[in-house]
Amino acid sequence: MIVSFPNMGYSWPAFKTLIECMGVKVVLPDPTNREAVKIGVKYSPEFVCFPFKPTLGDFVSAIKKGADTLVMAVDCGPCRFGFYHAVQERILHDMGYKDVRVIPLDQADLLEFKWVKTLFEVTPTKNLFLYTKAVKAVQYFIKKTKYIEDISTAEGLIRCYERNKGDTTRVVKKLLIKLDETNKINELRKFKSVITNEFKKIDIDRSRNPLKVALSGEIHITLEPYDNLDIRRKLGEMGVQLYQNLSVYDWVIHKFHLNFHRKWLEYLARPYMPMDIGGEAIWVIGEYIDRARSGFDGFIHAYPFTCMPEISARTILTNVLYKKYDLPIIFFSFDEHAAESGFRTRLEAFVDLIQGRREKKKHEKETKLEKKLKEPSYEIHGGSLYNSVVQFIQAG
Amino acid sequence: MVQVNEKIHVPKDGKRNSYLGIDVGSVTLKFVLMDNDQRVLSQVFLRNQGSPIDSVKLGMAEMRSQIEKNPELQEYAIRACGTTGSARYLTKAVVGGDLAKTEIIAHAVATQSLYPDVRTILEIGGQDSKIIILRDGIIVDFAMNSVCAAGTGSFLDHQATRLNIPIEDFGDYAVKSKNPASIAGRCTVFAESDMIHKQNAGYSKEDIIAGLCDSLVRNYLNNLSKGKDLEEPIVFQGGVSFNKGIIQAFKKHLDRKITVPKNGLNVLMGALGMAILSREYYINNEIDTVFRGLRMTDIDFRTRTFNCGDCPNNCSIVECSIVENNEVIARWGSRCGKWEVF
Amino acid sequence: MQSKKTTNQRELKHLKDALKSYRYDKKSKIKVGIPRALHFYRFFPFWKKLLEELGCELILSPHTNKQIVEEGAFQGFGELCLPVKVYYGHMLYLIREPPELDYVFVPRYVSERVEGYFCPKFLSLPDVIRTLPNIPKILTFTINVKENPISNSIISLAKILGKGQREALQAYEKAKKYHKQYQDFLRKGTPVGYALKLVEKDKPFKMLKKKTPKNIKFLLLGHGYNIFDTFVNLDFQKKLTRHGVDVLTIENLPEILFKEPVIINKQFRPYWLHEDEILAAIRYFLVQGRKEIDGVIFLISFACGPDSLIAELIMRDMKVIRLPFLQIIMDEHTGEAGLLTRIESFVEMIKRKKRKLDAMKEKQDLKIFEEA
Repeated sequence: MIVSFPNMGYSWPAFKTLIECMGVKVVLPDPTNREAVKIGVKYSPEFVCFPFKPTLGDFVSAIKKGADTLVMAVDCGPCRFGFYHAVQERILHDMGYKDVRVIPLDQADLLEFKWVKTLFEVTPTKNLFLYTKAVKAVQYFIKKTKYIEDISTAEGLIRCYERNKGDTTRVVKKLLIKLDETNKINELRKFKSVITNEFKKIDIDRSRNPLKVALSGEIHITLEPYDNLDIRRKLGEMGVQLYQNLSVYDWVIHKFHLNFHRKWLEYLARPYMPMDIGGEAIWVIGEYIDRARSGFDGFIHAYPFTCMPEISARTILTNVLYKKYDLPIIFFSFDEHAAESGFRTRLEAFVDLIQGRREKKKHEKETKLEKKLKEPSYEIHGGSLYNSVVQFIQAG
Repeated sequence: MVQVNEKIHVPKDGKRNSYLGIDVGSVTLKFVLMDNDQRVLSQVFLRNQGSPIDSVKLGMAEMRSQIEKNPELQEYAIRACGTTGSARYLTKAVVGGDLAKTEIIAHAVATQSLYPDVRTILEIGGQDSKIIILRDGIIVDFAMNSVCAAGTGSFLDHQATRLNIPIEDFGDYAVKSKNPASIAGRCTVFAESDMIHKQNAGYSKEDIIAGLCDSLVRNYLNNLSKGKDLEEPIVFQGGVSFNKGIIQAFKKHLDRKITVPKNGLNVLMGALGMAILSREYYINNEIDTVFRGLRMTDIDFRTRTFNCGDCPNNCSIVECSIVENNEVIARWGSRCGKWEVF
Repeated sequence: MQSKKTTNQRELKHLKDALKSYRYDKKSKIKVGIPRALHFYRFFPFWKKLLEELGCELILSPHTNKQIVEEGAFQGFGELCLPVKVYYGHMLYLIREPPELDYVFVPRYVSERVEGYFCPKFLSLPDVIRTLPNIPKILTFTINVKENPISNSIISLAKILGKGQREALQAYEKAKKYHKQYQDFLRKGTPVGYALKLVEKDKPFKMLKKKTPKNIKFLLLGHGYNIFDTFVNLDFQKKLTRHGVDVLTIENLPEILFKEPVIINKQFRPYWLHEDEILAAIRYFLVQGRKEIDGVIFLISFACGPDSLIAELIMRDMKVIRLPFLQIIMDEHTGEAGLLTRIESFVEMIKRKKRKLDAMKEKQDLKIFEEA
């Protein structure tokens, strides 16, 4: 049995560990690319939300490399995501890959431990040691997702300071490969220092005063660089410091009911949206309020074209929250037709807009409203690593 | 007028300062040469010919001949040059521009220099359209059409050819209509089929044209003005603002006063904005320009494409270089940003 | 300090009570506006009985018209699906036209069974509607059997309207009964549009005269708000009847089909309720009911999330059993001409196929006869 799973940004080392620890061979699909998207678009329903298409393409690419069992996360929340695996399996069968199985990895509530069943299902041999293996797999998985989150936090913070364009991207690539190769618990425990050391090697220009922008939205779109036209890199190279709460770690911890940051965001969003309607809608609303209070310069909301929950969130953001909190916000809806040039123009114009706004604000005194809005905000930003990166930027 | 600290350093050659703004859009090409007091010295407005490089060369040749004819203009020297439009980076590389900015910023700056208290800018060009919202002199919000061409000039252009009417006369026809036909259509294709349907049903040309203008404005507002307060003063510009029918339709839909910049400036706003931004740039930075000069028309540029092949994307990379010394001036087209030189 | 506060509160309560009794004295009913869109086509009889029992006067928005669609489309941005835009349009009408509405009724339907949901746009409907300008007070109740039974939410609804627990439960029982009657009435084969008209006018459920059954029978799939809103779908059903086609909708099918949840694969849990029904109906016609219908039409609104996936599954099933399948995607710009052409050619195609089959059958019969 050879197992594979679709791409989602930097998260591949973590998922690879999760399955490899169970003693199964893993094949990675090619990084999402034009070919994969083309295949996905060709065989997918026309009006499905965008992540369906590249993930289907990834599956085909993995099957061509020899995979026969595919793992797809599933969440029987109210949005279309819960239907992905069923339709994708059907499509793959109709395409002629009859022996392929798509196994759902249930993540509706991780404390129900249904995911253990998935792990056992992909494992060919059944014996008593399976449980110890599963514990190890989960331990490594959570550790690695945490480090991946740290890497992307540091990346967002540092890229806008780099003197030589492309340094940060190179470091991130190197770190991910290193993380993938680290498979001993002792080394894994020390991996944080590896991350900080690598990032400290980057030549940075401390005199810059970058804009602070938060990126939020649907998880697959915001994490996968091909789907979002590499928005993180582009923003960083335009001199924008990027903050992103969203990560696989954040999501997994949330599904174990241990993510207090998300609970705080839910609390903030409650007056506008009292319940989770799927996607990231409620947390996007909460995050917008949180970021506005903590003095950010801009907010980016990215989601797949016609995504149902995010559109509800967008309606509330534009009609109510933008007028109340006055944090500039830009919406990007991505699909296979997203054009690079128009996207770039809008992004640049947005950066110019928030730059102009900041310069104007400098001369103004704080208005009463703003003071009132600056209520306590929840600063987490990735914990101790965040602090050490900030120290590095400030002091050197 | 734009307020800048007036500490202009006087260059040694004794000539007066002027600034060049270039706007290379999807359909047309605009050049504006402006002096220190924001007077337009010379302007060029051309339809694009082939590749942007060829068009820019043509435009530059036109500007050069204007300057050669006019001895007054020869007293000026170009101190800075800025580019905007969808081909801004390529143009910047080719002419040796000092800065490249998006159309949104350029339009906002230019409009503010003419109408300092403007609050809303509507712009409909050849293949894109935008709304810019300004409050107290800064841009607070903007929107740009991202997917469809139903709210742009190309749509009208296309329908004009269908109806066999020169696009310049479109507005006159539309104004004459008493009872505009209602033409439905999210996108160009459907609007066209509905238009043919109306034509077959026997509507007059005037009514159909007025209906087209109406549908363009409706599409434009539907796509772009969501959640935005379009407050007066409103300035309408871009190529389509020549069309009286559209202006009328805007007045009907928005029920507000609409101003269109005069003297043909309505299409030159992007270039004018870049000239103003170049002036700011020159004054603030005091760096000599990297502008190649009007003689750039004599330089031969060569573009070539090759496939990267380092990953399955196999992006095709476009490279632009000067023939004489093989100097690469621009390279773009990769998704990962590996090859990019601007 | 504290005592002052409590006296204040007491005063307030007193005032409230006075207001309530004033309302009772005046016998004026609370005016509640209901937009004729979205789940109106599914739950209206239930709401009507419930709210009237709780002492409300219902004011409906008119049937969808051009102005409503246009206003709604202007209010919602491009990516929203058509039904929600139409809902906006109806809501804007209710805000503007009838004078002095006390409330507009925007229920939040989360789920009707323990497993399964409604579409996310239903889940956030009150929140989204609240962002409209000049909106009157919103009367809402949450149907979420995952967390608490329906009767609880109805009690809290009654509280807003100034009614007690017992009245609420009575109203709920009556409404449930009435809704059941309505559903049974539909299962006898009554078209939904006609049944809703009866409900609206408070008339007893009486069957239409039986028409002679037509040669061709279609199953018309889709959400109620797409199928029964005659403006949005350009009176689709009438067009079909004019071409000599009998139309069956999910509401007309026997209840027993929907008892067992559809299982697409092993791990699949029942999911969206509307879609589940559609799939259950299809499941029946895939096997037992194959001969009962001649074709399937699926009406989808542009940018509808759930249907985009369901349609794909149905299409693949239909290909296997070779049942003609037409998928029609509508939005606010759908032109009449294009729709007509497609229906006509689809019906024509089936007629020809049928004739051919009949001819072949006749031939076979003839052969058998000759051989005999």
